[in-house]
Amino acid sequence: MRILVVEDEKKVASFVKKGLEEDYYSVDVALDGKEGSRLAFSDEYDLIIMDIMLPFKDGISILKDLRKEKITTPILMLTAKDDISDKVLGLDSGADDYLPKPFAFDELLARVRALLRRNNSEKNVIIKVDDLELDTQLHKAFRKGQEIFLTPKEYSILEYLMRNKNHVISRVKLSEHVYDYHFDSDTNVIDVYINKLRNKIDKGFDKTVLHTVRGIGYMLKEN
Amino acid sequence: MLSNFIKYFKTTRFKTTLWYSAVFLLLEVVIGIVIYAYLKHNLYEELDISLNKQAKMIYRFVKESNIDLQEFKSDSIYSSPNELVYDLIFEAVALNPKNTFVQVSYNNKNIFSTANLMEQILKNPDSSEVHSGIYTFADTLLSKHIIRAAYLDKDGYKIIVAFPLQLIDQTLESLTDIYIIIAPIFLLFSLIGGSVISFRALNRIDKIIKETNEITAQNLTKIIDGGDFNDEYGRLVTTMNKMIQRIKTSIDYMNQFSISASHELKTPLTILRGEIEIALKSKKTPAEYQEILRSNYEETLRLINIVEHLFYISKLDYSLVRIEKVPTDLAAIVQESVKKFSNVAEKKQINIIFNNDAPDNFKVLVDINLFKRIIINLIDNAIKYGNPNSDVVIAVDKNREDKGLIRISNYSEPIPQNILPKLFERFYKTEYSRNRELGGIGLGLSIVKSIVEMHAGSITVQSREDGFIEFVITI
Repeated sequence: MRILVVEDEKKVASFVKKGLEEDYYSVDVALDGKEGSRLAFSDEYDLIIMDIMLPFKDGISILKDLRKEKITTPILMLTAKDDISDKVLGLDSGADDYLPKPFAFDELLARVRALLRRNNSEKNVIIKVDDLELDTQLHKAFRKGQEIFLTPKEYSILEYLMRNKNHVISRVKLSEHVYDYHFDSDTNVIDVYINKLRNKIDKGFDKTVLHTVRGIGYMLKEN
Repeated sequence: MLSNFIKYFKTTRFKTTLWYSAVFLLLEVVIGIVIYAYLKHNLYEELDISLNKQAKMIYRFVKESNIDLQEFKSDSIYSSPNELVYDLIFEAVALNPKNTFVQVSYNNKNIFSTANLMEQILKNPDSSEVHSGIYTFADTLLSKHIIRAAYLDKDGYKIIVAFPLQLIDQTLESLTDIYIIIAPIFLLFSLIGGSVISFRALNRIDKIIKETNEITAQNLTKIIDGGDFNDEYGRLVTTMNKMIQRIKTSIDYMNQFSISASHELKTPLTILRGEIEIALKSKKTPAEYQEILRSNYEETLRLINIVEHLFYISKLDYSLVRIEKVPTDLAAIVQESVKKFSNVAEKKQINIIFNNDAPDNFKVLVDINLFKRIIINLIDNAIKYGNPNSDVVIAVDKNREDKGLIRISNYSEPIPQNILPKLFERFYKTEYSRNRELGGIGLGLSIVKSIVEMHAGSITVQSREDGFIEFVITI
């Protein structure tokens, strides 16, 4: 899952990025409104965490511009202002959630998970594809109740595929959603990870869930 | 119940009514006394004049008749001198009220008495008792009342014209009676009238009290009714409304201040909380912990800095900052401050140029510590926001009014003209100073402005599109 953090306070941006990365998200940071707006428009993010007070372009304007362009990425507003009118303005301008500073990081993570579930048919913390289960809170995968140990990258790829189960996901899209923008999208790396993942989740089980769609990408399919 | 009565007696309404009635009563008494005295005086005077006139008339008639009354002999017409004299003075006596007493004696022999004297002979008064022909005496046989008389002693004739004061006494008595009846009625009217008038007047006060009582910090937008009347109450209401407006302004200001202050405190607190939570979330290497601690330490310093600024600004607001002005060589202070910044400036490759254009021994009355604070703040800003490899120019001069003139200029990111006045607002930050690395909290310039104004000086700022910006202090 790839998240954009737009926050002018460097240190806040930095710990939010760090904390999210520890939870297997890939995170991009923009330190002002212009940069934030550019990134939000150009790249496909699964979630945007954005401050309201930003230099050059404030969060509310970015929000309105994005919604006008029918970009429906879930947006979590983050701000030091704690007026009801500010919350109302933020939410009415198209934000999906609102978190006042100073916030508890666990709450931020919970809200991020909730927002990521929103555009998804899967409303549970635990996502299932047949007997493959993924606990998105504890970041653990199980097959037939048996825990499968995954590296952070493998986990990210599996989570993205599971959240979009029964849909074919291209290598490019997969790399976009599991890496931040420092990654040069050499999609071969994705193939390597998919192979490792396949060995862990499908090998030794009668049904395969991870399918390769030749020339397009990969898909987790329910039987 | 009793306490209600006591409360009522303490009200202005009751007191006003009481005062009103008391004044009314006093006026009534004074007017009564004046009327009484005036009437009495007039009645007496009129009586005196008429008595004197009568006495004189009698004298004239008797005298002019040339009849020797001492040698009176009774004849067919007059059996006694009394009858003769009565005929002589008839004219003078006839028109008088019937109970006028007249007695005429000639050479100490009584020659005439009116019948109502009933053979009684009035004693002639001593000259000492008589004032301008008038004297009074009492004779219970003749009248219950005091008798007032005119006495004429001329050419052997002694004439007494007397009249009991019955009529005057009665008139005055009935006047008093009327007063005794009317006074309580008037008093009652004055009480009712006074209470109605004070009720009407004070009712508006009650309304004002009621409306004022309803005002709290939450509804300061409320306006007390009645400000459009152009009387004392109207003015009171207008004054109170203005006061409420002023209170609202300062409460709004304080609210805004605490909102801005807490907003300012929230950022370092967010960082501290977030970093600590992430540090505790999973095991880190010692180097990572050290990095987190260093960052936490920085934020703690920032919190201290913010709190100190807030505290200082509150002190300025409540005039708790003491100012001790002494003649000061401004150029020396500026030069000393410039030196302190040489290292910081060098790091950014900024060249500080100091010009002293003031005459030697030019001194201005300032508080040295506060002045240093101003200069340090402005130099710090100039370097912090100045472009690398640029000049910061500081000049000290004397203006025509012998005031100190300090100019500090530098080149930075251009600041639009419309932003310039906002620079002195509390918590205002430009897009660039929001960059927290520079540590701006938006209070420095507002503190500088307050201090300059404490010295009855002024501070202005001008900028150009090429990024040149200059602060000018007159102090």
